[in-house]
Amino acid sequence: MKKTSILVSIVLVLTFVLAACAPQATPEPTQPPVEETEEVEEPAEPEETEEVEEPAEPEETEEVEEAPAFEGVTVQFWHVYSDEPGEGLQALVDEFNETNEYGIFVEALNQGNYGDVEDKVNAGIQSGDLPDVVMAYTNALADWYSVGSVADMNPYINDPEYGLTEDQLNDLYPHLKAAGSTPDGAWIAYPMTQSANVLVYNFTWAEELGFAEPPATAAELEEVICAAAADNATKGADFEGTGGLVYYPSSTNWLHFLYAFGGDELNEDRTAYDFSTQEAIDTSMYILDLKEKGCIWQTESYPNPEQAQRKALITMSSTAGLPYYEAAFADEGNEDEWGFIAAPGPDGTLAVNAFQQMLGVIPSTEDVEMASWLFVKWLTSPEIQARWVRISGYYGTQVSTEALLADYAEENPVWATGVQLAAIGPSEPQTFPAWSSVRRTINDMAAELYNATDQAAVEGILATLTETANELVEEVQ
Amino acid sequence: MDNRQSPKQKSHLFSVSTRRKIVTYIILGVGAFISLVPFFWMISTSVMSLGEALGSTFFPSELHFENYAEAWRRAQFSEYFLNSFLITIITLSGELVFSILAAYAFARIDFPGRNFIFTVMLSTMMIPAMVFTIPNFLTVTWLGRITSIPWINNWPALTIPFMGSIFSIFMLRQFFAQVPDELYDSAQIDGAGHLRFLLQVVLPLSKAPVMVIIVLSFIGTWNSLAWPMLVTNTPDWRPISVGLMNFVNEAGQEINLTMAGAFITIVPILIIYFFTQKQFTESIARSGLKG
Repeated sequence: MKKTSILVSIVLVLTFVLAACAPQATPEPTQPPVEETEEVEEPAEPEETEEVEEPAEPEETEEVEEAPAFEGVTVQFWHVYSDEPGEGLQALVDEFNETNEYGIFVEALNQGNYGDVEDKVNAGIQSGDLPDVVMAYTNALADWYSVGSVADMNPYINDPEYGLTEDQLNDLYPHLKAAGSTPDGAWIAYPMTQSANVLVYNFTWAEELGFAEPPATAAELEEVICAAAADNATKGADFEGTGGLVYYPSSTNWLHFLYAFGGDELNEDRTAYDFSTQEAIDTSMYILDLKEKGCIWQTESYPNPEQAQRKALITMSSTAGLPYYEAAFADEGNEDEWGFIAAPGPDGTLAVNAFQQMLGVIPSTEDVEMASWLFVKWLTSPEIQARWVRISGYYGTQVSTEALLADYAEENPVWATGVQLAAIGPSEPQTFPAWSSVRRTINDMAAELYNATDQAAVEGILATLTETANELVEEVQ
Repeated sequence: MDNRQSPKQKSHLFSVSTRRKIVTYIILGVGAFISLVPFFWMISTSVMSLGEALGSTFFPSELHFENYAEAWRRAQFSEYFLNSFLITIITLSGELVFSILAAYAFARIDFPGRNFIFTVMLSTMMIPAMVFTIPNFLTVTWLGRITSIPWINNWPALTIPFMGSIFSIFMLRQFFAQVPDELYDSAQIDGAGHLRFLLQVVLPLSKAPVMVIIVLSFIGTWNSLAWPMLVTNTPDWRPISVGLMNFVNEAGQEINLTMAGAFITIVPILIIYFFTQKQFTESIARSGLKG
């Protein structure tokens, strides 16, 4: 009896093992194989012969016109929008499904936040369950491209029939092609909209302090925030140590100032990371100097309430944080005029740290990839983009979109202050190898830079940062 | 007669055991207060305006109870509540059935390799749950392809992987092993087999650990987020925690609505906790378990 039980157990285990080792079932395609269906529906050979014999070209033309180019192709689109923006995006997708001339059907699915989408795509790369179009940050798309899971859109963008015209390409803000392209020229991320890390500026208070215009240079920025700090020093204990610029030493904020100081992350020939530049040193020393003078400070939490209470003349935030500032000002009953400005450099260079909500196409059949591109093209066309901007509050990516939003800008004056800023960029080099890891290292180093004692210490930290960043590149290559 | 007491006499007003109790209660009171502060903060923030919630005030200047209605609407709780309820019931039922049977086998049936298999199973508890995520995802994807029921975006992927809980098996096994052999011998004389002994003798004596498993499993399943997001593509089977994500975007979160939503989501947990707490205490008393 005992032996029989053991035998049965072994047989069961073997069955499971063999079942597990069986060839994996082919992943179900996300969309039906269109060509195959057409083949099945095609009539038998004799008819083809007839077609050859007949000079029936008009009939053939009619057939081509009747069947849309991508009839039956379904494109699955993973995005990150829920609630009202999600509903707005779904309405646009529904419109595309009803009106597109190609017969493409798009299935839009909210997959949580950007982190969730990354997790799902990472898992999907292993299992084969991937969408056709995915919304993600550029660095994630670059990582997936490096393992062959994101397509180069160049062939589709440059397609004579379905691609973009020269005018349409020139309509894109200049920094965006580079922002979505890898160093080897593959265009892997197409911008749906933009947001940017900006300076949130209280125009009314600055005017009261004697500054009619926003700061145009780093020196003017120092002057205005130090004046605000001095002003608050006279307001009592509750305002002590407040007034200037709220600055958190993060990679986003440090890079923002680095761009204004004319620097960037790469060496001159764009082949490696280089943070030991004079611009990087000047940026770090400028921030240290502001700290020593008591013109910058930090809040415990989001600085929105402090700005609304006039405890901060300037804070640094994403333009997407606009609703939170509006709520804070409304809550304080503060009717000051405020808006977004760029960080000014020593020579008057203005910069923000621009981010794009990127769309990537996942490799599939040629038809599905082209259908995916056609959807991306439609969704980012100026008219549709302008409608999406009204829903989402982000910024457009093309000059033509701006023109379509004149009335929206008038109704939303704070949003309007950011329109030009999103256009100037620049953006982080998210497609450069190991950027995600390098960015995390910059985050750590930014805190060290903020606490550096002198220039020698700053130079040491930046040298270490350069070395670490390039080691990270070696690890992934 | 002088009724006044000197300071020395006063110090002897409380006996040593009373003084110990006072100290104990003070420590417990402080601990309870520290534990409850986040809970109070959640409730307080849930009735603040957004501007106020973004600041560092603890008490709202004005009560915004409408936040609860807005949170319910925007988080689509009507749909997600039902999903969470179904997922939790299915998971819990499966976990109880499999854990009880497995634990009984490990505790009371002598089969070859029993201790080895149990040790291997226990050792998997040392591996962080995140490590299992991708293998589990690949497994459920594969199972979805070879079976007639779709697993992804359906209840099997959300429930079946959690029906085999090593912790529950371990806990029940330890408890089942304490049941005296004499009880089994008696049951056997009365004609009972393993299953009848388990159902009619062991389980009634094991209400305490079963209640603990119910509470822990309920909380774990109810609050799960990462796995459901991974294995669902549409809201059809997404649980309640996904609704809370609607208040978070890349620039921050509507913290007042998040807290209102969070309070709504924990209500079932509080209810089940209070119910099972009573059962739990009674079960311990009835089974005569002591430390």
